[in-house]
Amino acid sequence: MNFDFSEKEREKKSALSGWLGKEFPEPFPPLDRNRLEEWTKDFLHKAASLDFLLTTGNDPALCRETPYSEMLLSVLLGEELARFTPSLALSLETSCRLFGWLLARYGDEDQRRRYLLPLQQGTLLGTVALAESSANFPDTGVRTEGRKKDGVFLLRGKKTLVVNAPLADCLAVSGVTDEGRAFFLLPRRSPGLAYEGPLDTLGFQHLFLAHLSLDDCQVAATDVIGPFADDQPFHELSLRQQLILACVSLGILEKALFGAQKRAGEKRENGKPLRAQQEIGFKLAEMFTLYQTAQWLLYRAAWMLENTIPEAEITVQAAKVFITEAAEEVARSAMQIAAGEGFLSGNELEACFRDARFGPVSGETSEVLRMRIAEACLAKYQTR
Amino acid sequence: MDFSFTEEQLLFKEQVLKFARKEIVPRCQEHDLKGEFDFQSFRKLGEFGLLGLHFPEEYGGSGADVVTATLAGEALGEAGVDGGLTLSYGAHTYLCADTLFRHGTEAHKKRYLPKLISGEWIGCMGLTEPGAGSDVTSLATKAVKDGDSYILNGSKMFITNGPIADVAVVYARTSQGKERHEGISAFIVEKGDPGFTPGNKLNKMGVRTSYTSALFFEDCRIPADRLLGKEGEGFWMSMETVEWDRSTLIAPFLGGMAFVLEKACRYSLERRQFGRLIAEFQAIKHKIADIRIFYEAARSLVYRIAWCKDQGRPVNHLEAAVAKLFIGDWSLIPANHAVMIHGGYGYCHEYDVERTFRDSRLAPIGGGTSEIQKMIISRLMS
Repeated sequence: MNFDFSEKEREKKSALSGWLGKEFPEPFPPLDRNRLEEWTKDFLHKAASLDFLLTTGNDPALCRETPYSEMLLSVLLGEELARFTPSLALSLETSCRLFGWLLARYGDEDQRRRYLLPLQQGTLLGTVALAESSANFPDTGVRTEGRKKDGVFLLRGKKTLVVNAPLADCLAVSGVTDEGRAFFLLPRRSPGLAYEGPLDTLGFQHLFLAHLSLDDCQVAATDVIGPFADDQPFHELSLRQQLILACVSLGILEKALFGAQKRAGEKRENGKPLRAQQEIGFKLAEMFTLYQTAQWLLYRAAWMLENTIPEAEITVQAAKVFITEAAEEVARSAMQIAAGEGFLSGNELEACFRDARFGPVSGETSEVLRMRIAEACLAKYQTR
Repeated sequence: MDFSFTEEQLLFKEQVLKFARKEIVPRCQEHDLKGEFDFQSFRKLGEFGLLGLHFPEEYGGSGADVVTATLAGEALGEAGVDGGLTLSYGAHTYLCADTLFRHGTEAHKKRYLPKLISGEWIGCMGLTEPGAGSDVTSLATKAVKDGDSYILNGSKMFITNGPIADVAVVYARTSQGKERHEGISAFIVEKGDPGFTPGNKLNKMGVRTSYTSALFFEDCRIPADRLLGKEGEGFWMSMETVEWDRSTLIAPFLGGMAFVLEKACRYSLERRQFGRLIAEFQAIKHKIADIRIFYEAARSLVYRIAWCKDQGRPVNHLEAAVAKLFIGDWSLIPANHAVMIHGGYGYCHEYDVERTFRDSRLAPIGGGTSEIQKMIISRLMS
C-alpha cells in the first residue's frame, strides 16, 4: 500500500501543470466557436512537445499486454487537463485514451502507422462513435451494420452524441458484421458520412459534439478492427470511458470548489470575508469532503482496473456515478456561494454548473450504472 | 500509488470475519436488546488477539500495523458485530491502552497493558465533560499536586466503558496557560481510587451494549507517578487519539456498510411482492447500488489515515476531518436504505438492520461531531 504518487506520476502531473500554465495564461480565454477547430489543432500540435500527453495509455507494447495499462496516470493527466478546461480534456482523452488506445490494443501495424502515429505526433484528432439512439453502449443491440460487398464493407446506420465530431480526422465507428462486432475506421470526409452538428449543448462550450449518419460508407477491409468473437473490446472501452468521464468531472469539481473558495475569500459581508460566515464555511467543507472522497475513489478505481483487481469493474462504475454526481453537487453549491454573480454567463462557476450536468448523463447514465452495480452485488448472493 | 493490501493483511481480515461471525455475532442481538455489555465476547476479542493487535509482543500484543488493525475493525463491522461492542473495543484499545503504551512509564506498561490486552481489565478514556464536548480545551476538571499525590476534582460525561472500567486515562487541567489548550495533563485513575465514582450507565438509542456514563472525581487522590508524560502534555496526547479515531475506530462503521449491503441483497432476494422478488424492482436496485457506491467511496479515506500512521507521519487534520465527516454523515444512508428495503421488518428489533441503523447514528456524533469536522475543514482549507 502506498498513497503517495510515484516519481513518474508526480513528474508527469507536474510537467503537464507547468506546461499548461506556461503556454496558456489563466484564466482560460473565451474562445470563438468559429476558431475552435484552429485552436484545437494548434493545441494538439503544441501538446506533442510533451513526450507523454498524447502517448500515455496508447503504447502498443503495453496495451497488447493488458487492456488497462497506465490507467492511473491517464486519469491523473485527465484531471489536470479538465481543471484547465473540461472541453479540451474530454476531447483529448477521447482521442488519445479511447481512439488511440483502440488502435494500440487491437489495431494492426498498418493501422497504427496510419492513425496512431499521427495522433501521437499531434497531427490527428480521433474519436470513437459508440452510442445510438436505441442502443446504449456497450450493450449489444447496435444497429449500425457493416455489410461486406466486393471486398469492402458498406457501413449503414446512425450514431449519436459523438465527441470531437465533426472535427475528428478519423472516427472508429462500432458496428455489426456477419462475423461479429467490429470497429470501422472512417476518415473525416468519407463519402456517405454526414454530420448533424456541431450540436448546441448546455455545457462544454468548447467541445465538438455531433450525430452521424452513415449511408453505405465504404470501408476497406484494412480499415476494420475486428470482427471480434466476443464483446470484450467493447467492454474494455466502456470501462475506460467511464473513468475518463469521471476524471473530467473531477476536474470540473475542482474548478468549482476552488473558484468558490476564492470568491468566498474575496467577497466581504458584514465586515468579514464570506468564508468566515459559518454557513458558507460549512458549505465549503462539504464540497471539499466530496472532492477528496471523489479523488481517492477515482485513483483507487483506476489503480484497480490497471492491476486487474477483482471487482474493479464495480468500483469503476461506482466512481463514475459518485464523481459525476459529486461534481454536480459541488458546482451547485459553488454557484450558491457566488450568489447572483454565479448566475451570470461568462462566470467560471456558471460554466462549471452547466459542464457538471454532462457527467451523469454521458456514457452510461447514473441510472444504468446503478442497475449494473446492484445486479453485480445481487449476483454474489444469488449463486450461493 | 498502490492500493493493495498484503496477503497477510487480507488473510487476517478473513480470519477476523470468520471468528466474529461464529463467536460474537450470535450473541449480539440478545445483548443489544437488553442493553447489556457482553463480557464474554469482550474476553473473546482478547483471546483472539484483537485487544492488543498493534502492541509489542512483550506486552502480550501482536505487533500488527495500523492498516491491519483498521481491517480488523472493518471486519468486525462487516461480520455484523454490534456497534456497542466495537465501540467498547475501540475506546479500550486505542483511546486508553494505546495512550498508556505511548506515554506511560515502563512500570505503567507492565502493570496495565497485559491485563488490558487480554481483556481481563477494561479501559476507558475520560476527556469529554458536561461543559466540554467538541470544545475539549474548555475542560474544567482540575488536578492539583499535593506532595506525592494529585487531587482531582470535576466530572466527565459520555465516557464509553465508564461504569465497568478498571482503569481510565483522565484529562484534567493542572494549570491555566496562555492558550486554552495549555495546562491540560493526562492521569491514570484506577477503579477504587478514593474519590472516584463512575455514574450510572446511560440509556442510549444505539450502541447499547457499550456502557456509557459520567465519571465523578471528588477530591480523588492518586499517586503523583500516575501522571502520564509531563504536566501540560495532555492536549497533544488527546490529539494523538484522533488518528485512531479516524482509522481503527471508524473502521467498523465502514464494515457496517458492507454488512447492510449483504443484508439488503439477501433480503431482497427472498422477499416477494406483486409476484416477483423485490430485487427485481429498480427502486430496490438503486438503493442497493447506493449502499455499494458509498462503501466504495469511503474506503480509501479510512485506509489512507491508517497508512499514514504506519508511515509515522503526523496526523493530517484536514484529511482526518474529511474521513470522519464522510463516514459519519454518509454511513447513515446505507443503514437507512437497508431499513427501507426491509420495509416494516426493518423497523423491528428482530432484524439486524434495525440495530445497525440505530448504531450508525453515533457516527456523526461521537469523536467530534460532523459540525466540528466542518469547522476544522473550513479553517484548514483557507
